[in-house]
Amino acid sequence: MHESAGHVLFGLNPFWVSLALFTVTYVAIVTERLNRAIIALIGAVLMIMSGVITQQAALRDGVDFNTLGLLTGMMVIVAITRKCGIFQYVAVWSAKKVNADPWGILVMLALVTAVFSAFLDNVTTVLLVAPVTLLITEELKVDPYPYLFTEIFAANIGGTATLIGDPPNIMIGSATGLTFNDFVWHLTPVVAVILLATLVPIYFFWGRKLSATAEARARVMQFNEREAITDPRLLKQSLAVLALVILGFVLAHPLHLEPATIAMAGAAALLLLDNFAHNAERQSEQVHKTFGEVEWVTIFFFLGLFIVVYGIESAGVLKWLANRVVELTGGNLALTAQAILWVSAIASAIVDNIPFVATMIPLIQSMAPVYGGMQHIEPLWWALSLGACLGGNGTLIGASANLIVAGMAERAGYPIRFLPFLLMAFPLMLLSIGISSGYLYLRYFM
Amino acid sequence: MTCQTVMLPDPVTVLDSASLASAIDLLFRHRIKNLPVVDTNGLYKGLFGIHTLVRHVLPRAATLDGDTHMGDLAFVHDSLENLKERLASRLGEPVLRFADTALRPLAPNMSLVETLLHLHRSHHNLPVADPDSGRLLGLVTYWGILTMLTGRPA
Repeated sequence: MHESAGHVLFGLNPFWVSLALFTVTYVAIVTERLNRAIIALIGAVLMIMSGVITQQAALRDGVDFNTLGLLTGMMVIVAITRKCGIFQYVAVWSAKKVNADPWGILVMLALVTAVFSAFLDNVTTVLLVAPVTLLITEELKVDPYPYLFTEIFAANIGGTATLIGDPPNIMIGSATGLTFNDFVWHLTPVVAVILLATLVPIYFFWGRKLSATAEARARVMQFNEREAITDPRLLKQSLAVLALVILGFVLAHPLHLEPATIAMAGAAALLLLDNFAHNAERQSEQVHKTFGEVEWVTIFFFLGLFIVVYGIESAGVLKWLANRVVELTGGNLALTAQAILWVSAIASAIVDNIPFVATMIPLIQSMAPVYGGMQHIEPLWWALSLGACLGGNGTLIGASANLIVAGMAERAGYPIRFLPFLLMAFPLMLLSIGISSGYLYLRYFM
Repeated sequence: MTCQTVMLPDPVTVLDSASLASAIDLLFRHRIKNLPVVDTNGLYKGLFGIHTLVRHVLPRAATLDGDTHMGDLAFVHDSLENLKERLASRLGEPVLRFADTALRPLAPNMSLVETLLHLHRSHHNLPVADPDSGRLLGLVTYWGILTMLTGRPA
């Protein structure tokens, strides 16, 4: 048992108490009967109140404030940046670049979604791109389904490319010390290949049949993307801060800065620039509104989850589980990487990848001694990232971005149903995992 | 004084199965901004009016409920012809599709002050229905309230 453990209620075994609390929390999250933040917080409180861990240890060692800070900082930056209309500008500009050709627009919007998603969280990306997509497809008089489907994939694939693109990567980076550059070096190339490979079947299934009249295309070409920019001053400020934040991530290692510090610095700078010209009352109103756009449900979900997972880690459950995994794979690192990749992908297609990754991180860390230390298990982190992020594409409930797009499509009168989505998405997800599998083998184990 | 005492009884209504075109005809004929949609039993189903009609002439993406981060539509340059075409393509659809069905009717025994507060918040005339049966009883209109407050003839 971990040194940070307290005295467990009624003298029960902390191993079984923590495992029971973890299992109940997990099942409750999967069933989605209650908001996930409420479940995670209750799980965390019970883990402390039952005596498995102390509050002090939970907050000091369990909660990853680097992840929370990075998420919150980026959410504030996006909340301010999006007000200037830059994202609509890019989406419309990209559609016009291909002369409003329906297939060309699908490809361009997929690329735009993937690139945005690499730097913003996936949900924000689809909230920005999907409405413009619905607008363009309505003008073109084409079915928006292939576009929205592709954007779901592009969001989850693009998010895999960088440290800040998807919460699993943020958690992995924070827990392991892997930098922004490490993620770009190890994941971005394979992510680019996966995105292009995904577009091939989409072309044969939908793309080649897409067509629009010359009149409809002319309507899209009449869009003036410059008029999407609502605040040119804020645009310049936001782009400058975003560029500095990304530069900060690139130089984080030599600067000895954690990602949360960089994101928070960017958020503070942009808040300052957005507010200093206004009077106190307006500032208060604007800052309140910006903070209101932070996804507090996600933040509190993370907070609770970190404590729940720390509970089973402290009680030795994850170490025990790690040993079983190592036994199963015979201590073979390549096999372990493949197992992590495929299990993560299948699991993430069914359950939320955040609790899964939160559990897997300490589990993989527990395997390090068997493979000769942390420096030797780096491929396992890439396997976890690829599996957890790309697996979300497998089903409509696999990732938050999928559900957001489905909800929006439903409200616009173009419902995305679970089964038709599954029939197309699951094989495509397996394709991406197959490519990842080959990549891991060729790059790290040949 | 209650909601029932200030409402307009027997307002112009439209059947839920009527076409959008016939509902628009009623707006023109009676020079009114909105009218309650009812079924064949007189049960209230929603409120149709110019404000709900305009929503359906705009691109759907612009009027999605919830937070879609759409921003404004300054970059869209649909002509009047485009908008008329969009409306014309839907004139044969049932009016209920274009009504605000989420708007809850007022109860007839609601106090006068509460009625005015609802009117102030909603920005359009409000239906009054029996809370038990759902039967439409009348319509609280801006003109009706103005007439009552000023004592001037309608």
